[in-house]
Amino acid sequence: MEFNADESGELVARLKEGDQQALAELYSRHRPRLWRMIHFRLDPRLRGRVDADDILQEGYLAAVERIQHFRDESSTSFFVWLRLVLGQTLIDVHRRHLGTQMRDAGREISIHGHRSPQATSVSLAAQLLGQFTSPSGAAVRDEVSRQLEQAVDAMNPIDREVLVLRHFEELTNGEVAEVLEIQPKAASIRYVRAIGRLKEILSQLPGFAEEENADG
Amino acid sequence: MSDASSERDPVEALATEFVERLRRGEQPTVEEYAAQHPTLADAIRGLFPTIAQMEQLKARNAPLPGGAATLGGPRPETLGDFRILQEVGRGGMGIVYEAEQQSLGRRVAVKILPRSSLHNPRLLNRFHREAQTAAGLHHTNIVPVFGVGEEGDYHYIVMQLIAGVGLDEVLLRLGESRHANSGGSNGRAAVPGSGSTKRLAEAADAARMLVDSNIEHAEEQGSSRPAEKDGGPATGKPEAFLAEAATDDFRPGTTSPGKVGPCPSLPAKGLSTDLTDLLRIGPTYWRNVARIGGQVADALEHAHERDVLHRDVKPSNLILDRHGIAWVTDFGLAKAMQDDSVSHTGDIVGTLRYMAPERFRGEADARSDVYGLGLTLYEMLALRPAYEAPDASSLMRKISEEPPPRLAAVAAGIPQDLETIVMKAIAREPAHRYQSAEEMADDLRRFLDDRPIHARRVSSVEHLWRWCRRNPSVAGLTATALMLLIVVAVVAGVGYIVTNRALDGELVQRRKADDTSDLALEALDDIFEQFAPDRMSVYANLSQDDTAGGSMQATVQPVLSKAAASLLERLLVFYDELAALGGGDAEFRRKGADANRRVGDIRAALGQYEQAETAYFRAVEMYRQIGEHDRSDSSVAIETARIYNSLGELQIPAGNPTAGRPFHFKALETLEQVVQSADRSPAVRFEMARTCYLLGQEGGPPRMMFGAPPQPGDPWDFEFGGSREMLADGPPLDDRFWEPPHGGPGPRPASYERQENERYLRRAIDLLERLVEEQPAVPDYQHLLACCYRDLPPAGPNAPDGEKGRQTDRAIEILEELVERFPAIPIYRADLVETYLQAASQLDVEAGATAVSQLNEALAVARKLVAEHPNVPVYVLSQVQVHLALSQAFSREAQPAAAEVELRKALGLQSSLVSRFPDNMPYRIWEAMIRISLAESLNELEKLEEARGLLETAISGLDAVQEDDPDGPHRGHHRLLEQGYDLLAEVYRQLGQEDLAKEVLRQAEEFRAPRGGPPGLPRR
Repeated sequence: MEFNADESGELVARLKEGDQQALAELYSRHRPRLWRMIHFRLDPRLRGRVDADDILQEGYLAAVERIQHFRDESSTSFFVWLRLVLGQTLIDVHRRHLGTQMRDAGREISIHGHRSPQATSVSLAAQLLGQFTSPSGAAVRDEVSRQLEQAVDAMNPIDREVLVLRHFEELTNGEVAEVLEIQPKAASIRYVRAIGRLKEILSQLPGFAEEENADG
Repeated sequence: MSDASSERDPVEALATEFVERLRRGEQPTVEEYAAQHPTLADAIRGLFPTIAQMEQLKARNAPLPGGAATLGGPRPETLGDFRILQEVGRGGMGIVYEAEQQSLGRRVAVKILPRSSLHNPRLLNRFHREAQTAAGLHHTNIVPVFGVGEEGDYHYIVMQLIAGVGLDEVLLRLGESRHANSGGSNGRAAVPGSGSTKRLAEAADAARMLVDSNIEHAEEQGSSRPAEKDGGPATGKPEAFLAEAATDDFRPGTTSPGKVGPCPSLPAKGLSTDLTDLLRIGPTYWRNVARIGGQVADALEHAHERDVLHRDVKPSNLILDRHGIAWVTDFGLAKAMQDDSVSHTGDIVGTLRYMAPERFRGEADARSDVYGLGLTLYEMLALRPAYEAPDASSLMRKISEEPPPRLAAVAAGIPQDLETIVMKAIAREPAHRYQSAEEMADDLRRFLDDRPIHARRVSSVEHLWRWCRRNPSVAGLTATALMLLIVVAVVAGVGYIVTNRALDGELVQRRKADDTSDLALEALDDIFEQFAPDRMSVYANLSQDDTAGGSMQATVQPVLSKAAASLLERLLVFYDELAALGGGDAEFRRKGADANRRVGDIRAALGQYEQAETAYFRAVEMYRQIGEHDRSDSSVAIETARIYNSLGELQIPAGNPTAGRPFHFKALETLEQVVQSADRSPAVRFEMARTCYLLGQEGGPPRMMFGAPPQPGDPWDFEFGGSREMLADGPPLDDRFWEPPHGGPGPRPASYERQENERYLRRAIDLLERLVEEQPAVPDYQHLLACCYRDLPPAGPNAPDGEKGRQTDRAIEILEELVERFPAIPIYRADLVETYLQAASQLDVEAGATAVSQLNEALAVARKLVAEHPNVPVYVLSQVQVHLALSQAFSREAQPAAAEVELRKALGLQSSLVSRFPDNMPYRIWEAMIRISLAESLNELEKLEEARGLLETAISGLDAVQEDDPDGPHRGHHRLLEQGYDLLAEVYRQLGQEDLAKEVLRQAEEFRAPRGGPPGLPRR
């Protein structure tokens, strides 16, 4: 984690006692990871229309408004709570901008992992494809893209979400467990399994194998 | 966080540590872990590479400005002869280090390419080939390449170390200084880890140099540079760096860790505040931009002559040394590094931004490099990239579809010639650009020498023309408009004319310019007409207002198709240019005034009322000045009056019809003055008649939906009292110009304003009758005359029985003739429909059959109108009205089934309008009204279930109107709601749902109470 856990714990304690300054402090500490979440989950159609920073700002206001819920709720860790608030903000933003399209496109963004596995799978495939290089151009790329999406789609949705949370959102194992409402041990096992599965998928696609060898 | 390791998969725990180290910028190896944990070695070897891959992926996909490459491995200590000293910069292509060439004891720059980037032998070959070619280039503005090498997994290029800084970093500093005051370091924040404070300071120095001092002198010194270059050890690098030579105290060694990843931390503050003085960007800076452009163009020309393309000209590939010399680096590297698919590195967006549109089609030539340089200069002038988009595909779309905003619009004061040069360099079509870097260099020098440049400003018309060609869907809609555009494009644009005139000032030239702009204006006017199907330029909103009736004022909102609106926006640019003509020249001032008027028309058509008003006022002022010079020209006064009338009409959509009156009075006053000067030309009298007609409309009682006379308490009398109240607040009624033609007051005591309106209408009729008599061939006179007859306030119950009918008959007669003579003009037919409707409504109740046959005629005309102009909602509305009138006639004839059919047709049409214009509240109110009428009719036919459904829908629709637009006036809204409640209660009662009925009545009472109106209005 990027900051001292003890200090963070103290801030959370101050927050629970009603210190608003602590919220601002904590928010800025968690900001990079929240930014990652937005970056990963924002619908591509909205890029350019909405700015991650704006969503972060809106999310902060929402957090200020709802902070009492956190104070009352002792079981959730602060980051997971914050992520939830921001996730709601993100959904609102999508509604606002995509309106009805959102419903029929079946692309509800997923924040909690198991609600809408489809979205995660498309985004994940897109992220994976970002590195894909093929000398023979667009046609191959499209084909690989299709295969990749199918393969990622076929993964266990929770495993898939674990990968995204661990790598793209930089959550710890404990946080992943909390978000997905599973035991830390289960989260840990799932992570290892998911990496193994991903490796299989990538090894079967042309254009990825070399890349893998090149890495230390 | 809190979970003990024992509860976790041991591989996962190790993976967590591995990932954390990667994220800290360390270089843990898989083998290291495998060796330390032999029991897990297999799993580690199997999984960790994929884990590393995921992390790498995340960093690459991060959309940061200039997302940087990673080596994909640890930084080597030495590469062959070269001892790596420190990192000096990162770009999409690799990482640049300062290095010592041990055998020669000299400092060089070594660019190490990412290990993954040359995995394919074909690419590797290409890389070597290109580097070889680049090494053959020797030019004062090209960074010399010493050679290429490889060791282990690494490929690298050795170059001369330049004591300079990347232009991208300089631009970043300049941009920051510009935004420093507004406090927005957002968006273009420095990439975390991209620079030490040292480097930031160097970039700031370079920025300061560009703003404050003339780099020309430095360039002169440049001839003696080689000696100086060989001198002391300088650190620097091709991608983005600065001199150490200038600052002796700096010791290399502390390389920035360069954490790569999307961590939007703040850039080093403090420095940017130092730079607030840089805001004084002015002529010195602009000339320096031109000088840099000239140097780079020279370098490109040198390379092009040797058949070497750069392929990636952009700020980060240009290094500015401390003498103000620009150095081009990375020649051909783009090609060597690039796969055929453009999605290789994480730096895609950064690279795409400067890519010429034809590159997306796989074409590239010297002109593509010219483009890259043009965009770089654009960015230097605008201090922001020409194209910005968050991802590759939308960026590509932007580059291929839109020109960047004009520099003049982005930053004030940029010399026009310099802008012209830059805009020519970045023309979308290669054929429109400089055909060689040399040509561009030449023009830049001409600019610096204050000689006329060769590039010609692309006129707005030409822009328009190019735009049309690129948008075939728009172009296809209007073949004639397109032809006109060709004419205009051929005769060239106004900017050109004015420039040329300023240059030689000859009479001949001037004559030509006059003709040209006349022709251009004429052609544009024609185009404009094409896009104004209701000929709004002649009668503005008049017809819509008529058809719609008083309660439907929102229909005068612009109803342009997207394509038409877009074309009008483009036309506007041209008119704006014409409008700016003003100046001292009387003739040009006249054109400027005309253009301003037209700008107002277009703005109004686009629904930009405030801007329309501004343009109109500007036009009035210009006409006033012209009028002072030449009092004999009555056309100026007529134009002025016309604009005042347009201003008045503008107030209708703004929501307050009476607010237009002062403008119409002003118009009348203007015209009166002309008449006093003994000009009684038809044009003056016609405009006067039109003014009277408008005064006879504004603020008068709203026209009724079925054209029926308003009766107090009539359910369709939409807040009749409202208009009276509005009038009370309006300007004092003015009858200065009025002498009753028939003497004495009207036959019955009518409201003052109604008398007033009638008197204006009658005055208009007098004027028009005479005009028609003099010039029977002019359709506009007859048309307006017909409208006047039709719109005369309804005669009261005491009026002679036939009088009102005779007026309407006269209107019908004129309009039928007009329709026959001019079948192509829809407005005549629309007015005819409206007049038929009115006539039918005036028939006695006993004449139901006659009414039906008259309405069927109206229906035929309306249907044709809608079929030919499906996009004009007003025509659809008039058909709706015909159906409604028919249903009323049928129900009077006791044919409820036929009435029901008509209502259903009306509802279908109206609903289609609502779905097309969901923001139009009056349309929605109408829809609810028709539903209620239909429910009423169904109620009588005892189709109770359907009636109930309709009523519920209608009521919730009305509620939604109030919710969506709580501030609107919503004429008729309350009345309808009351009626809906009453009827619904009755339906519930008949359905035996007493409870629901009571509930509804209670709601109705609640709703009525605050209005203080009489409860239990008579239900029809």
